[in-house]
Amino acid sequence: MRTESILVIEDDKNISFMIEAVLEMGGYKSQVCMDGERAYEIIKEQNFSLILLDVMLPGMDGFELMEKIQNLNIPVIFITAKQEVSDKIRGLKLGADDYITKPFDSMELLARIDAVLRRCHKDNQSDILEYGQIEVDILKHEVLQNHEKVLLTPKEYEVLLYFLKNQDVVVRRERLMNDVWGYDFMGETRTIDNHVQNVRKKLGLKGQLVTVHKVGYCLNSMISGKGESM
Amino acid sequence: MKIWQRIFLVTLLLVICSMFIVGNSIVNKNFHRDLDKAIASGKKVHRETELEIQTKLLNEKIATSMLFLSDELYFNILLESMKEYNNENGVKIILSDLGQTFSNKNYQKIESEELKVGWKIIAKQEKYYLIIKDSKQILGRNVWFFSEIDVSEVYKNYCLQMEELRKWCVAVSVVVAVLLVIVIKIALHPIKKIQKEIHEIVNGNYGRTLSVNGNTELTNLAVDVNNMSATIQKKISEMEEVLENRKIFIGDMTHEMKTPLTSILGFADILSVNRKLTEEQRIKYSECIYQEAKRLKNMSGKLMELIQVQGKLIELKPVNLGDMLEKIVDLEQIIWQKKKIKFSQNLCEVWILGDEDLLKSLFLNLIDNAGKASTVQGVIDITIKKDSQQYIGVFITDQGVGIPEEEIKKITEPFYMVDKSRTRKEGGVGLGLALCVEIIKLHKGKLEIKSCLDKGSTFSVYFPVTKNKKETE
Repeated sequence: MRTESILVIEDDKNISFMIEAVLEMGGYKSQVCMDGERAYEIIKEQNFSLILLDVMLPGMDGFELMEKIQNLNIPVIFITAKQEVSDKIRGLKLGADDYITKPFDSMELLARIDAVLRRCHKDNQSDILEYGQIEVDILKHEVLQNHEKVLLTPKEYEVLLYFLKNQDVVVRRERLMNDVWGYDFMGETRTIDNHVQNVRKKLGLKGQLVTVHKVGYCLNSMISGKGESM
Repeated sequence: MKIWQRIFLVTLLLVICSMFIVGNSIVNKNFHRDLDKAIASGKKVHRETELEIQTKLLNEKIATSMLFLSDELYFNILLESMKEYNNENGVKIILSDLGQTFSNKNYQKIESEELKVGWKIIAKQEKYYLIIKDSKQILGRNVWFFSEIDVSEVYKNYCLQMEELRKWCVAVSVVVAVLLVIVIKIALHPIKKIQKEIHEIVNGNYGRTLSVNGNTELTNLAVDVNNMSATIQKKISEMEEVLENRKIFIGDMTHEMKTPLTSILGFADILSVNRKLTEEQRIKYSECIYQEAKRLKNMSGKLMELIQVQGKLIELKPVNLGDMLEKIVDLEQIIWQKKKIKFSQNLCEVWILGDEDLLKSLFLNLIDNAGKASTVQGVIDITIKKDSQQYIGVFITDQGVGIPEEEIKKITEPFYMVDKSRTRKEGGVGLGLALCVEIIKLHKGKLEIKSCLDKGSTFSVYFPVTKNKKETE
């Protein structure tokens, strides 16, 4: 369970609700504020690991707010609707760590949040991830099952890590491809399928790392029962 | 062939031809005059000879007291007459119907049988001779006179003059040709200038104007080209403006669509991939999708209305505004009961020409806006007044939040919303006033907006009074 707390500054009720739902899915704690002025107060009062900021706010402009909080060293991902490069450059110059354009899907947002938190060492991920009898030592890049080393290729390791961090969520193939292999990857989705199969085989996750037909894969968490196959 | 070449050739040919024709006829006239003089003098000699011979013959007749002269005698007289003539320019030959030819000793016989009465010019040893033939009746016998006159001088003159004429023709032609080319080129030079300017316009320089001086036909052409250029420039500016507006409209529209789409996409995605949802969450998220999708539906509906109204051709029929507004107010009173809004009306029977459905839409929109802006227990007033001889005004006043001064001119722009969250909460899209403006435009009317923050706003719609007596009351 993540312990990071994220502040969402967004004036549209439905969109802020949606972001809350996404963050909850990702296991983060979140708080919503619909006003730039209020947001500044809240930031000063509380400790947030990350801020999601919509640049088009009534009252205080998103960029203005960013200028104000620059010295607080809190990572900011700003949400834009326009696809204008000038906006993005402006935001990044003001110290934002990343941007995301509306509309976006849930995993895209979570992936960016994860990346930023890792980069800024604000993630409270422990160095060891556990799943049943499986232990992953992130620092050593080692995977142990029943205290025995399991040999995985670099990509298989990353795939395993990805699922461990996103349990109970159906990961679409394209999302997996983008986040693990990168946007430049020109290969087929078969590569992804093969890697997932390998991870499944090598770690005996047949009942837990399930295939969701035509969509992707899902690693059921240990809490949701002994892994129901779908 | 080019025009200037045509003008040049035709003018040149005309000049040459007329010069030639005139010169020719003058020279020929001169020649014939001289010739006639020679002929006349020749004929005079013939006459004299004739008289002489006649006298001689008569004398002989009297002398011999014979009634008829014998052929012999006749011959002798004729012979004598000929001998007396040594004059070069005198009668050379006398023929009688007796078949004898009497000619001057120094004179050589000529073939003259084929000659009818008249004259002919023959060339002989580099000289020219005029042969004149006459026929006379002397004492019962036909006598033909031939004389030969040296007309070499006359002829030479004639040839010289023709030669002169030819030379002059050539000289004048050359000069005229050169002058013509110069004059035509100068006259048509403005065309080249105009051509150059038009090329500039074709290459995109739409506003060019030509300098206009003088008062020739080409000046008028230049003026017309300037007018054309100005018209093209105006049209292109207008079109560019329309294109720009369209771009902005589409940009705003896309932007407005992004907001509901973000929620819809987000929630749909969560519903799809999140396996840990509670039933409560599932219901809430699906409801959000539904609401946002409805918002999109609303937007697309209003957009369709707006697009259909723009540039529509409406059938103008008489519409009773007072009646229509009364019915609308009845309807709106029920809708706004929840906010406890009261309606006051000052309506009267008034007719204008228009489209009933569009007008209903217009007023529903305006009164709806008034309702949305009003606070609880406000009053909305609707008044009809004949503003002047030319306009009928409908005034909708509310006591609501009002519109800031700077925003008044912007609120009729598509998608513009003064308070986005309030508008969206009430299910609005920001297209209502844009639609109203289009409808008013179609009815050739005017819209005026006055507002005071926190006090209220008045929307005034003016319609032109119809001039048709039948429809106005």
